[in-house]
Amino acid sequence: MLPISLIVSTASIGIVYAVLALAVVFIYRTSRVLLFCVGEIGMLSAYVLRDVWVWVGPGLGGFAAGAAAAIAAAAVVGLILYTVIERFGGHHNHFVGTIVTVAFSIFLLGVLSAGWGGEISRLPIRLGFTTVLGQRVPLLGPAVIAVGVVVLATVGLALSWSDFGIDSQALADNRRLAQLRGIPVERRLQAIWISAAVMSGIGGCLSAAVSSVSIEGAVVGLSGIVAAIIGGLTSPLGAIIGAILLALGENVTTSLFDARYSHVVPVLFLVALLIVRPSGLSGRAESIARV
Amino acid sequence: MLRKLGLSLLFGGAIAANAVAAEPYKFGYLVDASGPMQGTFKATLDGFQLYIDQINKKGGVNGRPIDVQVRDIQSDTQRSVNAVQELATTDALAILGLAVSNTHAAVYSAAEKLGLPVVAGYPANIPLALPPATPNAFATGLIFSVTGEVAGKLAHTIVPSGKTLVCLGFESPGSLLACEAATKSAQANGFTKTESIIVPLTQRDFRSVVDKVLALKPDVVTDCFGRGHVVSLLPALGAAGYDGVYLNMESGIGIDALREAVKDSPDLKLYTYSRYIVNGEGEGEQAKALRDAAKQAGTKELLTYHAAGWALGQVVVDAVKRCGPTCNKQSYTAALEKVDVDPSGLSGAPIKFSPTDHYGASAYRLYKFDHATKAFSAVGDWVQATSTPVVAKK
Amino acid sequence: MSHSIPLAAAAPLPDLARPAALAVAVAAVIAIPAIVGGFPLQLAVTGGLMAAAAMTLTVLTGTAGLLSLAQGAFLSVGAFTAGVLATSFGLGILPALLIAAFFGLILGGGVALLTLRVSGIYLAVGTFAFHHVVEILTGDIEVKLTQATGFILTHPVLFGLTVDTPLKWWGLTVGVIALVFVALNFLRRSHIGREWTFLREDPSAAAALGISLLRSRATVFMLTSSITAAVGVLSAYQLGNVQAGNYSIHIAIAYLTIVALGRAGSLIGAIIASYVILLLPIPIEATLGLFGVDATSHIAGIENVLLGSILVFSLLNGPDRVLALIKGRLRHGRG
Repeated sequence: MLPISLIVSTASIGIVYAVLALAVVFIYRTSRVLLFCVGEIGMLSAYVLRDVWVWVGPGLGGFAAGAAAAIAAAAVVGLILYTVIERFGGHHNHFVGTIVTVAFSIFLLGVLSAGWGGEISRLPIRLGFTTVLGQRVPLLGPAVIAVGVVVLATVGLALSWSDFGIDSQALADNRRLAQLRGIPVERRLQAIWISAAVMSGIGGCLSAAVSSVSIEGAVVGLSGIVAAIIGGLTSPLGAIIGAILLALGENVTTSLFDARYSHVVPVLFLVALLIVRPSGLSGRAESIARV
Repeated sequence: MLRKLGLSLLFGGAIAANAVAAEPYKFGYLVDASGPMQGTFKATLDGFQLYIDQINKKGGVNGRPIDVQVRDIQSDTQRSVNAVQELATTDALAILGLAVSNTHAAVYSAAEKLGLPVVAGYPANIPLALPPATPNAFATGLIFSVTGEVAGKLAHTIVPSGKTLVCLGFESPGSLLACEAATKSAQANGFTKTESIIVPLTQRDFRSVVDKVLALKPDVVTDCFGRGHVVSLLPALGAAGYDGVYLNMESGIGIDALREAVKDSPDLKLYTYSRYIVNGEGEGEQAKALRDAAKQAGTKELLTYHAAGWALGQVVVDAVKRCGPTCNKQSYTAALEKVDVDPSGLSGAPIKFSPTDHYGASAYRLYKFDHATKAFSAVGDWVQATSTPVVAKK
Repeated sequence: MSHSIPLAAAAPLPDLARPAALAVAVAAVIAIPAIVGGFPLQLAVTGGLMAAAAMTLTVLTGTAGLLSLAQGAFLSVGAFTAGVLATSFGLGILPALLIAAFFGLILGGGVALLTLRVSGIYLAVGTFAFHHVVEILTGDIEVKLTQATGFILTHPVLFGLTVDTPLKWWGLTVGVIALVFVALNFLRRSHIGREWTFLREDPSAAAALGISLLRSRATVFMLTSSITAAVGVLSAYQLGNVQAGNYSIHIAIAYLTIVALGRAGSLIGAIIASYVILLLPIPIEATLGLFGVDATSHIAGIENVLLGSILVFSLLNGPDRVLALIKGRLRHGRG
């Protein structure tokens, strides 16, 4: 076993799940809709990142241009989602809202297929490796961790210090009350959906960095959803912890037991956890919508 | 001589004209054009279409053109079955294609009820076509119990003194079967320690799997993976410093993907083995015809799919010729059981079916990747395999 | 001379007219596929079996408020029961139906017990875990018993009658839909069904009134899972084969989409939505074909773009809203 590379790969995939889980939590806490299309938004951004990066050229300039385009693409999707689900959808029930995101994932899969024909490729990242305590550690992992930490820290600071962040917490607690207090609900909701989509996009790009850019890669979204649920679905910190635990569960199962069960064992642990703590790690005795 | 040429041109033209007017031989082709496997398997249809187009240009068969009706099944079982039922109403003689094995059995069942034979193409086929063959099931691609067995032999060829072999597969019955066959075969060929590492179907981050592989210190790592898995796995393997042998099963991966995946791993000794030629090289009439047709069609790079699709075309047309002018589903099925084509240059064995064996013997070529020239070159001769692997059909 | 008849004095429609009209409509719906035959008849059978499974999920999710991702798993349990019994024990459809229903009952009860303390999204994850476990087990069974070929099932024989033509399958399917509809409708309207609804609406009040959460949940899970597993047997025989890959998580998501489209809790809605989901790709493909887009096109994915858009539009009551908008504009125009 090579513990350092295992620690790095666990931390990096945990960060990927955390970013995706945050997107899920952002939407769930304000709209009680489960963002099923988080993975598809992620892969759309990854395809855009790759294309623009390759077109502009290797190196930081290409990466910056690609990243900007990827974020823009995700933001557009977020805006569409907000318009359809919140504005057009109105006071839909949460189950229908969730299934609408399922329909959106079908829509986005169609866009990916028509636009990129199911092409499978890699991001043009060349980072090499370093040696730590005599062990070879590819630099990709630490790079993903660094980007992920910056994103999570930015989100954390925004939630705690910015008007948007504080207003969104108020919206999550009680939308009507927030409205009565003069919070610009529609503007904030729009920003929340766009932010969630952008986080999905970033998560998808980070996932593509450690695997590949492909339509099938959208399944990483399911891991983000499970991580969010472990964390309690309404707590950003819970989502991050849930993500790390999920990544740990998967990699430990692979390393010590059988890789075949790496996706089912953590979910089984989740079920066991939910028997003990029915509202997830966050422990907040919230009234959770049944359907 | 000129008169003969003139006459044949005249008659060829007349035949072509008649072919346009004559009732075509109809076939249904199932492909994943917009589903999860589209990037990998649509190219086989391209290769098949190249062959059919050149047959039609020459006037078709018995003066009748071949008409291929393509249906997008998105690797979905219900869509596949619906497509079979719908194609049966169009007087199709057979159902062709079927790149992904998870829809095969349902398609065979549906087709069998309608009396339609099914000829599965490249890459993945289920063992229904192996002896004793299921009545309407024919296959020209890879049946993993056969292909996996070849992996064990080739691993020994590459590393004669090798003792440890690891087979990487994913959570699907076909892949599980391939690794079972590969490890059994490796043990029979001198490997004392063999292990299969099976990952979930949706696995994309392979870094922890790579750590597990390296801990086993294998002499050879072989696989039965999809394109998405390989594109994610190989860079991780290279980045972790693996400098041993990686023997890839060419099962819809494509050497273009392989080349890209090991771009930054100069120490990784990459091999691939394939039932059909991997890059359009090869002597032989059919290989040359494929190159010519691809050039005319503007195909960027010839890959295994094109050769495999072309071979499928040969099989389909050979059966049409044997079937004769008044061909229906039943007589076409009977004709398929007599198919005997020489892929000359595309593969190392003829494709020959019989009433009890709808797969026949097959041959596989080993290729080695040269990081300097970024090219694959053949190693040794074609390795023959029978249709009765050790991991036998139940 | 104009007499306006007071509304109260106007004779109301006879009470028998509505049920008679309904009976005629239902008879027509049943007869049309039988008359048309061929591919449409095959589709009618497939849609009918989907509807039977969708009805159970709409009761579980809509009436009882229990979000489940295990639909594919229970269908798989039924299908594999049929496959193993046919291949290893030479037993036909009838024993398979009974044994699969029993397995569904037990497993449904197990899932209910394990997820007793949770609800909503959390329950969905518990059922998601169950799905994964079933997927791995059935994959193993498929490799070990069939060498990845899957189980092949021949025409079923029910009470001496071989169901070997699409017309016979249609007769069987209509019977199954009617049976499942009547059974679930009866349950919904009974005190058991009222308990389910109460538990969905206000679990605390239900508990205060002495309604046992365990019994209620277990009942609905066991009954719906049992029926779903039995439908899995029928679907497997209709398809003619059983493969683990046929029951991915996408099946569960597709059924939830059907339930949402047909309005959760509505049995008729579940039947209609099943056919909509099954048939929708056909007109989409035909329309795209007019523009030269088919399976060989680079942009074949446009089909999913259209499918997703139509689903979103339907789920959010698009047709009603558009109609209301048009009416509103017309009213404005008049005024």
